[in-house]
Amino acid sequence: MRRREFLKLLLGAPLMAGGLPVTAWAVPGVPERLLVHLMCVGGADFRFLFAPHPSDTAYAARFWEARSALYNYNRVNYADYAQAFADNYLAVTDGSPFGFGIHKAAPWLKAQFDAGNVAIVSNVLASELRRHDQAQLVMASGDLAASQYDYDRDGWGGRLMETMPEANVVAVTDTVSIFCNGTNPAHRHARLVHMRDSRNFALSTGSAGIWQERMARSLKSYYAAKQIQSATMPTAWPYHKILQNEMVLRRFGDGVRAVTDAYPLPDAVTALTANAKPLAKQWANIYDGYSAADLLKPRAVSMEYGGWDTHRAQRIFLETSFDALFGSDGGFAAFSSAVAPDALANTTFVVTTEFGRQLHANGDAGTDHGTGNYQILIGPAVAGGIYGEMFPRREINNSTGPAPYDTHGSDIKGLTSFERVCAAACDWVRPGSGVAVFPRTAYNDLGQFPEGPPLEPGVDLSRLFT
Amino acid sequence: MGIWMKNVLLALVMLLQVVACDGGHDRGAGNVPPKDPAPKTESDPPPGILWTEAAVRKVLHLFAYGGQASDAQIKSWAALAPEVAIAQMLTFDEVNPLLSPVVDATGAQGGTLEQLQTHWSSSDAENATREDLRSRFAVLATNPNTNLKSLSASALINTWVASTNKSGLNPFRQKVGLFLTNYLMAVSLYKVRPTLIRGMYDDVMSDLAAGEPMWNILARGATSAAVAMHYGHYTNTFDNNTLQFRGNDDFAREFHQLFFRDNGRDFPQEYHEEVTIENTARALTGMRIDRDASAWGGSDIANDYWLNLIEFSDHTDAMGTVLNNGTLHHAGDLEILGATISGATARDKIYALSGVAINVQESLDNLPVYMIGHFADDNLNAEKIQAIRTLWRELPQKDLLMFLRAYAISPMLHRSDTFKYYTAVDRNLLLFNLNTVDNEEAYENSWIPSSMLSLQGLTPFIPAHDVFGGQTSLDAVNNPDIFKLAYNAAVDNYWFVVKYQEKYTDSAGDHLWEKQWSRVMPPNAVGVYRVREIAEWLWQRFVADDLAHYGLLERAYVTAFLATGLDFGFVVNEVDPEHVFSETELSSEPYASYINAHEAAILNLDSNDTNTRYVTQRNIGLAVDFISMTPFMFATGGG
Repeated sequence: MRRREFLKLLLGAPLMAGGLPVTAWAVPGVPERLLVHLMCVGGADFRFLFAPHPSDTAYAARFWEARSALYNYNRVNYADYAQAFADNYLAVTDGSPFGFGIHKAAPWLKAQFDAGNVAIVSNVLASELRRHDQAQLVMASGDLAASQYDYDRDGWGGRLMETMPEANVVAVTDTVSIFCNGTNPAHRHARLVHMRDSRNFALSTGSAGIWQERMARSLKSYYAAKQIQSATMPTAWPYHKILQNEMVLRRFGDGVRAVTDAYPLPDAVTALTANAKPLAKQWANIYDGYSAADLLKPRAVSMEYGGWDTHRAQRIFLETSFDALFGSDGGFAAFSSAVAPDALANTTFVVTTEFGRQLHANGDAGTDHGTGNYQILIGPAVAGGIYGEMFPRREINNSTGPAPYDTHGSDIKGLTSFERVCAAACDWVRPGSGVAVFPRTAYNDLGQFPEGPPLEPGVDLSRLFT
Repeated sequence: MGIWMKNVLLALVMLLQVVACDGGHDRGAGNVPPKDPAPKTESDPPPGILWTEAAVRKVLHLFAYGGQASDAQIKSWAALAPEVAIAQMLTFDEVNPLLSPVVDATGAQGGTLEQLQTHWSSSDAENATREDLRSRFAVLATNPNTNLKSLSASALINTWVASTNKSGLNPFRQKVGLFLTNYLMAVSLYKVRPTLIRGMYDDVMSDLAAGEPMWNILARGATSAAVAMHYGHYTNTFDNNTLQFRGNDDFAREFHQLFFRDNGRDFPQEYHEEVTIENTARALTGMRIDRDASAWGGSDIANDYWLNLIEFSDHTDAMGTVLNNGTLHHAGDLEILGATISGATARDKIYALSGVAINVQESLDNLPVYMIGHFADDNLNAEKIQAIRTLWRELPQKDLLMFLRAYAISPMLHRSDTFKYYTAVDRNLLLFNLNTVDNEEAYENSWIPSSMLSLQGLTPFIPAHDVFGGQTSLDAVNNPDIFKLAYNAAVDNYWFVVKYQEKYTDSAGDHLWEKQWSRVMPPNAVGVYRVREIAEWLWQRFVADDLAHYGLLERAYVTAFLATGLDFGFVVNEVDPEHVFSETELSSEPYASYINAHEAAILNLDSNDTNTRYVTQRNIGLAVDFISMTPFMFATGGG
């Protein structure tokens, strides 16, 4: 029932945009279960995406007192909050006493939540260091103990691929995240297809002229010979990586070109570019990745969206970014309307960031680095709802000292390790893979195994997927 | 500490003392080699170091985009004791005449980015830049739609890129400058106006040239207008009456984490967060930046009025704005990193704090490893990391130049398991620089790889990772799309590398520039340019591996281009030009004869016939283009 509602919603989307796109769903590829990892780089303030309902007066008063400066309201009068909430948020009823709000710049997300396709996991923790590069490394590798000196290492997307006989991560980003790397130090990218520009994916054949042709022929035959030669080189030989880059482009180049030549991008996706939406290129790359699913065997996609380090005047940036992702004409809406329903049904998005931000607005209408945050899972397979205490009472009441909202520099306390959430997503892609990808999650009993990653009391992530 | 390292350090300290007595820290007009360079003796090289031409070239590739030193100079350095040679090779002066010989007036107006940008965009008679290319360096650009003038970001980028391939400057200085302003103390044109970034770059490089210790270099960056603008703390204030801080703590954290690589683990986390970070934020108050509407030649955009100037006292700027940088600074002492930090201004406090921060254990451990990882080694292990830390810790003044010099002649760099992948800037500027034979070409060939760098993910002064720096070498090598872009550029835009002539017109008339490889390429013992020797010379110039990776396959393709302008497969079999050859095949007939014949061919570099000359230059260009796309131009070292 719930899935049917979701698909119905999606079916309506192109019509709302003014008619069925010409090329929508006219593509052959339907990936198997696939995880799209969307990393919001910079430490996104998802506490700005979600807000307490004004009827939750005890919490909302403290929330407003600490954060009203973020909203361009001049007074810290609680009476303003009802108006601020009405101005900025869409009220959501989730079965809890008060409900909550999803920012108005994210109507698509709200509609999906209402349809039961969005799971919001609260109080998620990765690195406690509050340092961008280290926290991103932890989040991409899935390893809390990741060394700051080791950027040539495996990531959790790559490890997930290795649990399946034929599976690849498709990175649609400018830079390939460590998330995509496999465990073989001699070939980290054995399961990677980097589609930064799917419509210009292949190595040149030098068709533009005789000199180009001569160079293209030389390089093609030279590299083919070097690929054979390199088999005798030690695994630590540094030049393997360069040859591996050539090999993957050679292997998939012609096939991807054939698919993209045959299937133009649908209107909804090209509109993202026309409207200068952030991530337009990445959405187009993913679409083409789906079209070429038979060739690429994608079981994970790596996306990135930068600029979330909002120390100053964060409202404008966040509203623009929420709209780019979750607006009615944003990336999620466009992509969802463009791909076939059965392909979408096999897709789960994991929207994440390296750390959270502090509870209080700073003096520049922004927020400084914190630790805990929300993780958002989206897709028909997700059992929608709130996991964990969305607006914890401990933030306004503390029996042992000042409450976090009374303490400068305080943040969302991380209670659930991101490893738990990501392992659950892995299990959905490939049943039983979660422990292989995140070995610490084998210790799953609260308190009895302190070496295991934490899980907020009362939260059952085994229900995260239907 | 190993004996070799003590010897290296001792030698470098003594050498620096000699140079200091000889007129200062290798700077200015005194930038000449030591008067009595120590000849190489059997006991000179530290154990494990084979100080050869290849070793010299490796240092030049890693630290100076190859440099502009002549073959004779490279030979000369290889013949010297390494600690003497390295002191000549690596300096922070605006001009290093041995690394980049003075052949014209290029550095005569000074070698800062500001001086170069001003000079190259001027109509000065000494300016060798083509008239039609001067606008690419101009500080101000005019919007053709609005006719409004504003600061040009691309001009700053072009100036920096062009500064790396002009003889008479110092490419090592530019490489370190890029590291400091794009990685360690990263600022971005997305957030900061180009003149502020340029000012920060020139200021920190000036301090380095003056021999300032590393903590003062970092303090200079931390108190710059560029960093204050990037992180937004230029509006941070402290009310000394109400004790109210207003602002953000962004840079207060990054000062420790990024500049000094200190994550706060030497102290309890609560102390780091509540004392160190919070009080550093208070130290960074009173940093409003001056503005002047007439600055930079008169931009029409108000956002361009910012000056590279923070005056750390109450004053009124040129716009008539009162800036209370004294009053709104936290007046009292502050406890940071367990020390009492005093100072009347933000500048005083940050300089004092830097002197403490440089000696925090985490910084001592991490900063030197981060720097060597950036410049030279993607395969660090525990042993090498320990040696690097020891080298840094033992340096009393934390002198960056001394540190890099000592490392560059240490076994750590020259051992077989050390390798370094190239970033898009490293690889493209190596190619750009070494494919430029002289300043005539540097000024008259209109090709500049700025846009190619951007396409391949490394735009100077727009760090890819925003907060924590630009594209790393691992980012580059782990990115198949960058490989594809390089490959397709070598094929479809081969002309960028192969170009052998260019016509242009200026106020003096028509001009024709012609490539002149013979100006740097050595004839053999009998005075001719034979393909065999030229191919090896090219490989050594661009790859610099003592021909370690110049195998039969490489010989076949490189010499075919040199001798015929054709691809080897097509030469030997037009029907199957993409045939994949094994070395066994190539060493047997008929292929061996083809290779031998190609290698025996003579290049007519000095022919009086224009077409013959062009064909020869073109074929050399094709060979260079091919070499540039072998795996060995994407990394160096590693056996």
